Amino acid sequence: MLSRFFILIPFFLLNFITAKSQQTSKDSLEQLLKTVNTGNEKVLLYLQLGQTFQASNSDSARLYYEKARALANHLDDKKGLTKYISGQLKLLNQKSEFEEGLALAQKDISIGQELKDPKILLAAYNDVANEYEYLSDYQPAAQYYLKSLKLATAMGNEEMQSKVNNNLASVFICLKDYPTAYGYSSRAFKIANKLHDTVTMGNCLLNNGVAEIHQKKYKEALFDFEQSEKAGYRIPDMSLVTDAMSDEGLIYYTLHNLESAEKIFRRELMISEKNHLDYEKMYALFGLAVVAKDRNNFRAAEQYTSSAIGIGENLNTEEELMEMYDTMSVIKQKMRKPEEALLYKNKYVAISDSMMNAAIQTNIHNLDIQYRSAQKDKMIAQQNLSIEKNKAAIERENMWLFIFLGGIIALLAILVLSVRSYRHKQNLHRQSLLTLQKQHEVNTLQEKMQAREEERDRIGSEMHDDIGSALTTILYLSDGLKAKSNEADKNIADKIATTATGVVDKMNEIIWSMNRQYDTLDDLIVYTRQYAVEFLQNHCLKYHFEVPDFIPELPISGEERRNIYLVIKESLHNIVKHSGASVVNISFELNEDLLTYIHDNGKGVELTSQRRFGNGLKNMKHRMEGIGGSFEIENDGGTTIKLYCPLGSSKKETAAI
Amino acid sequence: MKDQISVSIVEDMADVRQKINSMIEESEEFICLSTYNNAENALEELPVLKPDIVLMDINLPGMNGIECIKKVKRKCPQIQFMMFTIYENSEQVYEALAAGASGYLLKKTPPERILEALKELYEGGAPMSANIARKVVSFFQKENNSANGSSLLSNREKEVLALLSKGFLYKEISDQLFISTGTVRQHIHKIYEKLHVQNRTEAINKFYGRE
Repeated sequence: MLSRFFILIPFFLLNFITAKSQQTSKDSLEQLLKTVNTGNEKVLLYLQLGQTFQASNSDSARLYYEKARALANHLDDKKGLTKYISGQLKLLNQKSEFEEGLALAQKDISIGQELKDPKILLAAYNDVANEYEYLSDYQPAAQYYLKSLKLATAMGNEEMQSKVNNNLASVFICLKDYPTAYGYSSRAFKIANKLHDTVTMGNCLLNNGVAEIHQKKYKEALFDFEQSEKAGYRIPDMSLVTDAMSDEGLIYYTLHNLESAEKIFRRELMISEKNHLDYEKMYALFGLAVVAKDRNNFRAAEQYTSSAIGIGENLNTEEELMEMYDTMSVIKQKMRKPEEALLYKNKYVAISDSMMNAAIQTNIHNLDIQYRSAQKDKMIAQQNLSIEKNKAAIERENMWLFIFLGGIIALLAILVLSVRSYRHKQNLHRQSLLTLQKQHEVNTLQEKMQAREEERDRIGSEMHDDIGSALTTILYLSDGLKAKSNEADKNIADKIATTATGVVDKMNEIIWSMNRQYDTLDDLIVYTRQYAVEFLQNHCLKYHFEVPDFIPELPISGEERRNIYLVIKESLHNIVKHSGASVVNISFELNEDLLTYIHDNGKGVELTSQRRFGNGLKNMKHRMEGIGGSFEIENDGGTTIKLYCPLGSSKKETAAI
Repeated sequence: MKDQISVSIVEDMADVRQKINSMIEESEEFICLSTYNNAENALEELPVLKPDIVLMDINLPGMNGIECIKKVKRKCPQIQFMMFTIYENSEQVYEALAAGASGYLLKKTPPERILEALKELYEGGAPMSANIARKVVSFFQKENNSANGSSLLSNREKEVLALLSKGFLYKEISDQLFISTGTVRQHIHKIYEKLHVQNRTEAINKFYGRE
């Protein structure tokens, strides 16, 4: 820090010398270069050298700037780089290389952001905006100016504030938004006036005036331009003076004060010629031409215009040229030189055509820019307002914080509750889904079972029909055989017929037991009784039946029906075959179970030697036990067979055990 | 000499059909008008020939016997149908009786008994097992409940039916009610007729949506 301070003193001296002799300063600087050790200092020296050559020898200036850039890059010296950029920008602007300048300025922004240096950032924003303005890209120019204005305001940098405000005014003039432009330029003027910054004041007045002209406030505009002109003399800045003069002349001309207009233009012509200001000279000449034309002094008008066109063609200013060609064409016509008039008209049309498309696009572009700029303005206003509001709100901040926290807690509570309720609903939904699924499974199972039962029934009935048909055929064939046969064969035929009939009877029993329509206790008793009566009558035995008056509609399975029926049938067959009885008593007793007693008055059974029909008895016992019941046989003046079969509730109990 | 009883046979088993046919031919009381091995042909000719009795098999190729009875009965209610079935307990026996048959014969019945049964039927008799009686009882109970309440069956018919449905034989019933077995048969025949009529009106009512 200290060493740099010492170096800066010789710089100051060198600057002083520079004005006198560039060669001397260059030499001394290069000598100084050799004595400097620090890289950072070298960068500064290179930049200094570059600046020395900037006005006279731009190539040398570029060389030194390039050296400064390379070294700064090498050393990663950001500040050095920023200084290089501001120098290089001036060089590029001189050469109208605005796009390169824009890229460089944008790099400067990123350096400013990296270093968090508002000063660099402020300058960089302004530079970027400048480059955009030079490139006639006014929308981004306005945006960047606004950025730098915001920064300048925040930093309290009034000088920059006034400059940027004025720049904004220029941009909005270009965007043809004159009220906004006027707002910015008058703001800029106020600040500049406070700072006694005459240069900025002069420029502000110029912008003020232009904005006023376009709002047809000619008197005010004229006043502002005159003030600006005076400022120009004071600075002194002759381009400012002449600029103001062109506008003054234009106002007088617009107000048909041709005399005053001519006076102003003549003065402008004089001053601009003296100061080599080509643009202003062209404006002055063209102003004079227009005035002469209005006075019907076409010869003079022709001369002035011709000179102005000469300058314009040199400067390649399309818009001005177009206007001048048009005016020239009119003048030539008035001078009865139609061919030349046509020539200028064609020139006018050529430029006009080439500009048309650009103009249309620019118009659209400008409208867009106007809109966006207005939005931006509004936003800034809103931001300012909100800043004010925020200041007022700081006192209530705690309350707001409390409300905010309360809100968050409430939201969390609602969230938790809704998540819980959602989960709960999900659970319910899942459960109901599960229930539905189970229901569905049960249904499917039932359907399957039913389908299987139906299928079994169908197969059963088909089988029964087929077997039945076959048995019937056998019966009829055996009958036919019997008629044609001798005694021995007749017996065989009879046996065949009896066997077939027996099978049919068995099948009939199976069908009965399988038929689900006959699955009540009543069906069993009735069916059994019918069979027993028929059988006993056929064998000439007396019988007695005891059936309860009321038989409840208790369900009884096919197996139970079949087994009980078959056991009774077998018992009756045994009685007929073996007992020699004359009377049979059959009684059904219904309590919770079904009890069947079959009593005969025969000779009884030798229980000790049951081998003779042991198989039959075993079989009957087995059948009863198979349905959870029991079979008992005893002698009591004949034989009593007791069949027990559990029903209904007791059946369930048995099953449970 | 008394008029012969005209019989038609519908039976798909050729042996059986021919046997019964020849048996009928041999008897003096009966004459065989026609034989069919399927219900479709029978349905065409029976309403024209109008036999007294049709011995009708149930399981036939194509249309079954029950369907055939229904259709012929609608045109000629006077034709009597004797179902010819293998199994007494078959579900179809009741269906056939409800559809218009007046009795049933088991195929195992010895051929000579067949002619007796046909004659009984012709004279107004009808066989009815306990199982079928139970179904008929429940049918008429339902009809009485749904209809105007006045009984469709006479008291005597009800008595006969009640005993039948308890498994009593014709002989037992006649002993118990002091009537001849022929009278029991005629009661049963009446019951069958009422069953058919009721079944038909039920069908019509169903058709006209009056039920």
